[in-house]
Amino acid sequence: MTSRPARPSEGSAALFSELWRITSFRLTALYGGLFALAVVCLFALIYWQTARYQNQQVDQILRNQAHVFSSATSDQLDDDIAYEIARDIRHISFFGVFAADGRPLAGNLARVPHELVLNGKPQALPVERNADLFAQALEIRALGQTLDNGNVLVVARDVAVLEQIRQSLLRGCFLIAAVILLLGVLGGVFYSLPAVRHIRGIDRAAQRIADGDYSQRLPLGLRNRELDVLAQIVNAMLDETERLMGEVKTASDNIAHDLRTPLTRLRASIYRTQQSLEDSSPHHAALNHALTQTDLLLARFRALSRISEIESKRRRAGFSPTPLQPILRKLVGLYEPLANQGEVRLTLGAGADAIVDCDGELLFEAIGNLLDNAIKFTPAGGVIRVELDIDETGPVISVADSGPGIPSDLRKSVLQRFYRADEARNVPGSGLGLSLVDAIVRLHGFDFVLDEASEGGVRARILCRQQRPTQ
Amino acid sequence: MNATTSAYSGRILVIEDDDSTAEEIVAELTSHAFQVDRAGTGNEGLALALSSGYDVITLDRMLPDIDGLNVVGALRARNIQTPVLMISALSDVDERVRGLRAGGDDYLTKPFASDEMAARVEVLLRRHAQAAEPTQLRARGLLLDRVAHNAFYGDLDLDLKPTEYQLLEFLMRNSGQTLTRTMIFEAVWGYHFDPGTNLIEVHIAGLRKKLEQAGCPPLIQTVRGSGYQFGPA
Repeated sequence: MTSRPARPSEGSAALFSELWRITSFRLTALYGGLFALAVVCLFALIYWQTARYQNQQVDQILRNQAHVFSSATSDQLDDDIAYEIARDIRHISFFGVFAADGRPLAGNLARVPHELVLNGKPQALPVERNADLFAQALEIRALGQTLDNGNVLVVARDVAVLEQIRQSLLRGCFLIAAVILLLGVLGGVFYSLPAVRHIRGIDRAAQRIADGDYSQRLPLGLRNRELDVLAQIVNAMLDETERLMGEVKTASDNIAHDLRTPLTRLRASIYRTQQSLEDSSPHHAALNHALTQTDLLLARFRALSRISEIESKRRRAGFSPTPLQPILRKLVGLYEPLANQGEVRLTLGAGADAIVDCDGELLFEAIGNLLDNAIKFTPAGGVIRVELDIDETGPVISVADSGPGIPSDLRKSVLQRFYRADEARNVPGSGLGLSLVDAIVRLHGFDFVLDEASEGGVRARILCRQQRPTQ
Repeated sequence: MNATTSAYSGRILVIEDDDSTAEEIVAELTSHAFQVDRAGTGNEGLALALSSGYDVITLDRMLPDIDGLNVVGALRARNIQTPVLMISALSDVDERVRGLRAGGDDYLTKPFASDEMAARVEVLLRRHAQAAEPTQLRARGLLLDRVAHNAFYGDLDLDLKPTEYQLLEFLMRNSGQTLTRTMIFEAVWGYHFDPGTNLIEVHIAGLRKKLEQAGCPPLIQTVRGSGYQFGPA
């Protein structure tokens, strides 16, 4: 049996990593990211333009005020400044007239701000160096110039408004970028979930095909065109494979089936001949031998038909929750006389019972075949142990014997139809027993493992892995 | 035992569309001194079965006109309880279950050995003839107690295991009839696969040994090429 890869869990991290493998999700996420970046750039541009425009406006105001004040007379200047200060209810304007020695003559500035160049041009002032002048201001633009009378005029303006605009622009920018990214991811998820579901469907179907169910096909999605093209190609290959395998099987089944009827007739005529003989006839031994051989042939063909019948069986109609211990007890009871005849001890280990969803009759047949094999190959004085254990995968039925065992390199081959190890040539049998067991075990979705028993012989185990629900 | 002697005689209806199979069945049953009629289609068979009383019907599962399952169903619906042996190319266990559920009394898969078919017909015939099952079966001093599930020879308790008891019971109930290994396996163990040659043989050998140890004369005969038969040699 093939080992199954761990199934992706339903966790969000696992889902994300699964989504990330989907091209459309990655593209959508990428576009979302790029778009968010573009929006950030756009906002930066808007901010830059706004800031420039605002500065120009402020500068124009400063220049106008300076122009008005510098052209006024000394008396008028005091009044004008007082008027302007009174009018500035937002307290964002600062004015000062200073004597040449720096002494304040008018306005609401205590001194000439540091680092102000008296060139009549608006400039940004370092706020931290003039904190005493502009208490709560964040950014100050100022203009200083020397008046005709030698006094110094300073006009300044708090441009905190600009800073506020910048802040709200920045907030808006991040907000919108976040919304775009979120929408991008959500859109990606929305477009990719069908693809994820589709891929999971393909995964499931592929697993079943790998497990030998060649009637399965990969599902086709609704809009994942490129996946569908691949799925269709694979499906076409599967159609062809199934057809070829079906042909091979049909051919061998037909041979088995067609030969059974004439063989049955042959057996009937041998039987009738035998019946018509006098009891004392010397031909009885020869006819008996012929009858036995014909029966063996018939049994072989019956087994072959039975295997293909089980292999082609898809329905699980005969399945029901079945306790295993009663089956094992019944089997040991059935085979014990046969084992005793060969001087082999057949034991059933005491253990907990387990209930398994299975076809009890088929499971009985499978374990019966294992016992039959074990009895055939275990020499006199040996032991055969039948046990039911429960490990982490589920109940495990094991039949271990003290016979010669199967070399590890042959363990796979013995499951093939008609395969007989060289050592087994002189033991009567069809070479079909283990193939039949394998077919039954596969039908159940269980695992069939052959390895070495602690007694040195074969340990055949049926691992009744509990089924995950299949739809 | 000679094939032409039969413990019971009776009227058998063979519903079978395939000529060679029908011939084979008719020949075998006639050789067992049965009076045999044959119908080639389901409708013909149904008409015959309804009009005259038969003791056993052999019924092909796949008929050209009506499904064999429906033939049994129609018979049972008219309260005709004639035992039906269904004969089918469908060997699947599910098919067997369906056949028996529809009202068939036994199921045989093609191709079959004609002696086995005849043996099954005889068992059906006898089962049908026994109106009430006796609680005790006796043969040559051997007594089978069907209430206590045990057997005695004279006063000697044979101390049979459950399987041995069931085996002896099946043999004694069908005393004088040939029982094939498959029939024994189906009746005693309840499974429907090929038990192989030796498996039933060792159980019979065990039972014979117990009878012999109790001093009982040999009552289980081997029928060459077929199976076993209970009764004096």
